[in-house]
Amino acid sequence: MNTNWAEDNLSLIRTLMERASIYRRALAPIMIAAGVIGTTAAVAGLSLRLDAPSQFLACWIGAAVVALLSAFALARREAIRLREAFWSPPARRVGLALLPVAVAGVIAAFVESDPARLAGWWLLIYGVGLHGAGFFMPGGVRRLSWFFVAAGGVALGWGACSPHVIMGLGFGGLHLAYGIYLYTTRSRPISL
Amino acid sequence: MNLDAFQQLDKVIHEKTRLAIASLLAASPELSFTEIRDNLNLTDGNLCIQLRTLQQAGYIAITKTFENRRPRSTCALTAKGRRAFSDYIGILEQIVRQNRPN
Repeated sequence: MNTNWAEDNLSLIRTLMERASIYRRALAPIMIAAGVIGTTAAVAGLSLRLDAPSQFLACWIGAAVVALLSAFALARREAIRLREAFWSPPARRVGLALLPVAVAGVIAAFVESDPARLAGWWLLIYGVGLHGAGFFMPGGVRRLSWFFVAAGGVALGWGACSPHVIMGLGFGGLHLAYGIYLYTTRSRPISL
Repeated sequence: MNLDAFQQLDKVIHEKTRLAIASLLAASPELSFTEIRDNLNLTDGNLCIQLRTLQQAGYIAITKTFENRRPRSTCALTAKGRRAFSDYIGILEQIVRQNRPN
């Protein structure tokens, strides 16, 4: 008798248990935080006229570090609240999937001297990495990643815009929009 | 296939939707109705029926609260449910092991 169903059931159990793990539920506040940090960095960059390549780099690498630390803090807070493991196998996979993105972003910063083009490359690279990591996260993350890829492509093709505007709309705006979407869709009233 | 092992499978958990619900709850202290429904792409009615079956078997506990004046139902596996889920996985693994070619 065929026993594939047993393996299928075990596979389903594994997938669903990963899906319910902690980092998914912390995703909405993480996205909102990244969006707010991105938007704030863009406003600061524009208002303080941080247009020189070194100033642009300092502004956005600083924003990336703050966003990363905020994401860790939010996920950690949620893990403590629910008494769950923070560095779970799925969280590890997401981290490993995003690691090449960070490396590629640093390499791009070294080889691309034009801030507007660098902003485009960053969005493109981030979108590609997010798509890979999205296989361990809700399906919406993969759809979001295509917006980053598209924004990066437009920025590279167009290039006639302030790099802070590109990053503000891309890194800030897209994260913020997805975070708001997650918040609004998960708070629908339900009665059993 | 070992029919004895198959017959030992808990029929409450073995149903695909209930198995999916139990799997989600096994990985989390509690989940809201909405989270389960959205994760499994179920209708409200179907989820209610499956939750009621699990609740009647004593496998889950449902807590109703209000959040911002909106009703919020959260579900959690009970100790009995966790044990039944763990036993179910054990039997599945046994079936897979027994039928794996040497």
